[in-house]
Amino acid sequence: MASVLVIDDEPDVRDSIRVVLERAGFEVVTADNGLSGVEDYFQRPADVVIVDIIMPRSNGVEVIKKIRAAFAGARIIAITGGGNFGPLGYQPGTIVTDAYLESARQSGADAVMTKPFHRSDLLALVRSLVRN
Amino acid sequence: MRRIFNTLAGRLVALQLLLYAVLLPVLFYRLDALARANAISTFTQHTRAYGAAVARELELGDVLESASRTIAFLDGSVESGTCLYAAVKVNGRLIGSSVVETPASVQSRGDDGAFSASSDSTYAVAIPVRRHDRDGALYLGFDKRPTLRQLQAARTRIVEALLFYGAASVLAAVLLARLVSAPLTQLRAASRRVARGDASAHLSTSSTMAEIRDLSSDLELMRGELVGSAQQLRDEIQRRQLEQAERAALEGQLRHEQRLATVGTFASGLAHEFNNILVPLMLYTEESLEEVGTQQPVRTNLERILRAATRAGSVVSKLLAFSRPIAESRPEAVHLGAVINEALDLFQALIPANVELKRQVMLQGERVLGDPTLLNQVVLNLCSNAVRAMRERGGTLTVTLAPAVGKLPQRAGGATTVVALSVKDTGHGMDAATRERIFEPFFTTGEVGEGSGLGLSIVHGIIMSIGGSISVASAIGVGTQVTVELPVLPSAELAAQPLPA
Repeated sequence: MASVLVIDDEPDVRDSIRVVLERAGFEVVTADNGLSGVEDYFQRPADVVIVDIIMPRSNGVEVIKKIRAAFAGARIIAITGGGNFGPLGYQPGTIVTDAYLESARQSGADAVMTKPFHRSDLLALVRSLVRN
Repeated sequence: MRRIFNTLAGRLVALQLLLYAVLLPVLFYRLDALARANAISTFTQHTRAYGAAVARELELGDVLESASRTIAFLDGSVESGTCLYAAVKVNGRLIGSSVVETPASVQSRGDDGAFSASSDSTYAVAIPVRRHDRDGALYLGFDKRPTLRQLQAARTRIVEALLFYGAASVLAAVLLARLVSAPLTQLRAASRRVARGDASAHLSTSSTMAEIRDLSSDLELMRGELVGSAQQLRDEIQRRQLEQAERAALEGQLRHEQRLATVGTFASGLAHEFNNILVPLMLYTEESLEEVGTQQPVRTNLERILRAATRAGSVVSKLLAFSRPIAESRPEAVHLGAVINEALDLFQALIPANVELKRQVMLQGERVLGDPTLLNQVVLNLCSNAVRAMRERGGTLTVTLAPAVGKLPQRAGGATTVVALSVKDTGHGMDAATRERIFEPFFTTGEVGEGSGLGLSIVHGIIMSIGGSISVASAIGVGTQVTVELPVLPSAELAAQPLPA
């Protein structure tokens, strides 16, 4: 049974992804922040990591970098709700969704997905990564 | 009276009069005394000389030989008009002229000595006559009246001369005062004109007086400097007013941009939250749809929820487009005229019958850097807003694309020329408060359900992202004109860009 680690600070997002993936037959572990998510992965590397980019404390890009540095074969999907965010919250004209997505790609994400997404898209992406 | 005294002429005349009050009596008495002394001296010399001549004749001749010859001699003296009377005392006997009566007091009087104007009209002279060692005396009386008349006439002439001199010098004073005050009056009139702002009024005078000429040329110099500095001041004031107006306009624009940025940031944050909320909404709904059978009635409701959530997702993505319009765009060198014509061809079908579309696309090969799909969206959005404003009364929609004199900030290596796309309607127009807010997301003047209110905010975001500017002119009841200015790509930049097929 393939395992998925879901890291997102939003409980509703985390839980809904978990429900969809568990019903589809995946084993799901969740973390509500980047630091504990990385810890979880280091203890037991999941087959696929789904990580939110904009999170308090350690953000998604940092999480991807740490995991990718230690595990070259890790499969990572970055997700984001988009918006303009600087280091201290909303900032006009600093970092836009695309920049986050691009940054996530460059730091090692295998795929990026913007919220909201359909169940079918989520399952298709996770399955394709597990197969590879 | 005081006013007249305070003029130059008044002062000079008063000074003259004061001087004359003191000097004229002194002059008069001096001159009178001189004339009097002169006349009296002439008179007395004359009488003495005559008396001496007569006495010598009596001493040397034989007139005194007989009484009859003496009387005849004395008669000759009186008849010649020289004397009023003539008498000789010989051997104690007084013999007088037979023509006039000899006054009895003659012997006691002797010589008058001094000439007195007051006493009588006769000036008496007594001269001793010696004849054969015997003493005698000659008594002659002269008429003083002609001399007194001469004196009176001389006095009149002196008074006349002095009065004439006084009058002439008062007149001269008045003329002199005029000579000084006339150019001063001229200068005063000119300086009043200068004070009223007539910069061309010259402080010059036709006076021939050196002091006044010098004064007027100095004043003219000063006027030149004053007029120059006043002009400088006016220029400075005008320059500052212009600067102030420019600064106010810039500040207004900055405030507007800042508000849009704030609203954009807020919209972006809101979008982020909504996207997070939509994830469980969509995933749970789709999961439930997987579980329910195809014939169950609840399925329809779940599908409705999913449709609504999907629609919410598209609204949120529009909202995000306001703050990141360029995010998904792929800018390239675009033939703006072609894009606009294409968009208008599409839009033509949507125009109601009561609206006429006028195209004035006056560009040939100009290209701008932008995403053709987004630019298409800009044209369609502006046109549909314009048509909506004319929905009730109809009107004319004019779309113009032409080179413009732009005020876009220069980007490094950026475009130097500008094209202006203007979309103009003859609809209901809008007031200043509305005009101020139309670029804000969710701001709409349309009916509920008519539009999201995101259109113009997205247009604004698209235009800003490619270095353009957008402005709105509108008047209630007249219509609205939205003008978009975009920098034209220079040929060098054009060559570096991949052109669309």
